[in-house]
This record gives sequence, C-alpha cells and structure tokens, in this order.
Amino acid sequence: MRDIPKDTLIRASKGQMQAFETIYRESCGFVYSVALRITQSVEDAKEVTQDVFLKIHKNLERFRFRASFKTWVYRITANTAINYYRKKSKENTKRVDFDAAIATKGTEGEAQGNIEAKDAKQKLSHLLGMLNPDQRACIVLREIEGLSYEEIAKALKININTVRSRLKRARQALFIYGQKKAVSNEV
Amino acid sequence: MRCKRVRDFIMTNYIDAELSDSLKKRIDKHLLSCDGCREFEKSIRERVVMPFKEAQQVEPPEEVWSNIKEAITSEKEYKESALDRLRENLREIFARRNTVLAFATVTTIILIAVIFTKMPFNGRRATNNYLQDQIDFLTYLDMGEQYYADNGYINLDTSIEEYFL
Repeated sequence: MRDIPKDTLIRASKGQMQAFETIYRESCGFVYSVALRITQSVEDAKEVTQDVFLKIHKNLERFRFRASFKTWVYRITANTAINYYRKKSKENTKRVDFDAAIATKGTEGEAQGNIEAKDAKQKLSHLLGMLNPDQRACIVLREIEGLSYEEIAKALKININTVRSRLKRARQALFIYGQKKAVSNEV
Repeated sequence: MRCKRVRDFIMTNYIDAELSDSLKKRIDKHLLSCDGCREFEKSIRERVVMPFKEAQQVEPPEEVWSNIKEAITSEKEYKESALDRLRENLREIFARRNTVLAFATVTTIILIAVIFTKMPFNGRRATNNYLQDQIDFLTYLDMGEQYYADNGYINLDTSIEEYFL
C-alpha cells in the first residue's frame, strides 16, 4: 500500500468524495486481499472491505496524524476481518481448527486434493485454513503484504515478541502439516 | 550456537530478515557447518514461505466501491434531512403565538424571577446577622459583663437577677 498525501486525507475528511475515492483506489487492494485471506470467502471479503472503508470515512475527521495512515488502515482491516471471521465461524462450525488440523492425519485423497494442489490459490487457501485467525493475520501481513515485525505489532496492537511467537507457531504448524502429508503420500 | 536456537531463528527473524548483522553472520556460519539445519532452512523456505510469496494482491470487484459510495451518500442525506426536520420543527414552535406559548413564557419568567429572589443574596443577609451576633458574643466574653451592661446590652428586668449579678 502506497502512502497517501496528507492533503488528500484532509480533503476527504472534509467530505470531498473525489479525495475519498483516491484513498479507496490506493488502499482497496490491500484491504480486500487481507480480508480475503483472513475470511477465506469472497462474499465475506467484500463485506469486510465495505465495512473497513465506511469506518475510515466515518473516523477520518478524528484522525490526528499521530500514527501513520497506513498503520491505521492495517489496524482497522486486520481487526475487522478477524472479528468478522470469528463471528462467522461461531455460526459455521465447519472451520478447521488449528490444533485439530495438526492432530488430524489426512487421507491420501485429501493430500492429493489439497496440499499438493497445483492451483496456487487453493494451496494458499488451504494452508491459511490451518491457522487460527490471529496467526493467519500475522502470516498474511508478513508474507503477502510484506510488513515488518514492527508494523505488524502496531497494526495488531501486540508486542514484537508476540508477533514473532505467532509467526513461529504458524510456520511450525504448516511445516509439521506439510511433513505429515508428505509421509502419508509416500505410504 | 545450538541447533534448536538456530532453527528457532530460521522460522522467524532469519527468513524475515529481521536480524542484526552479527547474529545473521553467526547463523550463516552455523548453517555452513550443520547439514541438518541447512536442510531445515531449505524445507521451511519451500514448504512454508514460498506458497505465500506466489500470492498476489487482489483488487475487489467494482460493486464494492458502488456500495460504499451509496452507503456514504444515503447516510449524508439522512443526516441532512434529520437536521432539516429539526430546524422545521423549531421554526413551527416559534411561529405559533397562541395562548399556550404565551402562558408558557409568563410561567418561565415568573419561575426565573422566583429563582433569582431565592438566590444567595437573601441567605447572605442572614449569614451576616448570625456572624454579627457571634462577634458580639465573643466581645462580651472578652470585655466582661460591664461593657455590655454599659452599652445597654444586658437588661436586668427583675430584682432577683439584679441581686445575683
């Protein structure tokens, strides 16, 4: 996500629709991608994106430039997507739990269909599905959006050590899962 | 450096390039001499990091912006209409010069007048009187009864009182 000029932010906060559209065009890719990776659903990602930009529009007037606008958008996006996902997953218990995913030994068919899927999108979606929403948010912000540990910490309002431990646990889980699948394929 | 600690860094700071130069050099040195850790680093990159690196940013469909724009416009219109309604109602109230309004105005004026007359000005007078009494009493204690009797403060009305005093 590129930096947005202060002038554009001020004009948008005063109600100029054109300036707000500029903000949207600059940041919608980031917001939608993060929402999509966290919620794992196009419809949910669309709703989250809409919700994020309405929140930005509503609160832009109160934005005091103490933190960077980008960090503010990261925070709103990650929080909205995580909350949305949690709310949805309470309704839909089909979600694959992180620990359960680690403990479960997949069948050969599943392994063929999922972890070794040729389609990169499916593979990515499947890997993210192995993680809990907090770990997923960390991985998405780091791996896909390229945020530093410090930026992730600010966006999620956690300390850098927590970022590090969430990334470690997430990668550990994905690594072990990959190993298990590789073994079951060999057998 | 032990393998466990090296692998811990490989899963986090090392592959994310969030290490100090000196620590990175130490891990690089360890990887040169340890086949197990080198293999581990390779596997982590292949299985855990690469699938995400291939992912690209996705743009939302155009309908999302249309919905946002529509929501903002309708909210703005609602706020404006609510303000207009309030303005109109106030104008109507003030435009009506009927008896109810006249009665309400008179009542309000009376109420304000009553409140003002009961304000601290009267209370202050009572306080001043009380304080004056206290000052007189303390003077009496200090100067003795004669001062009071001379100034006509003590009135001995009965003979029995005069006898005892």
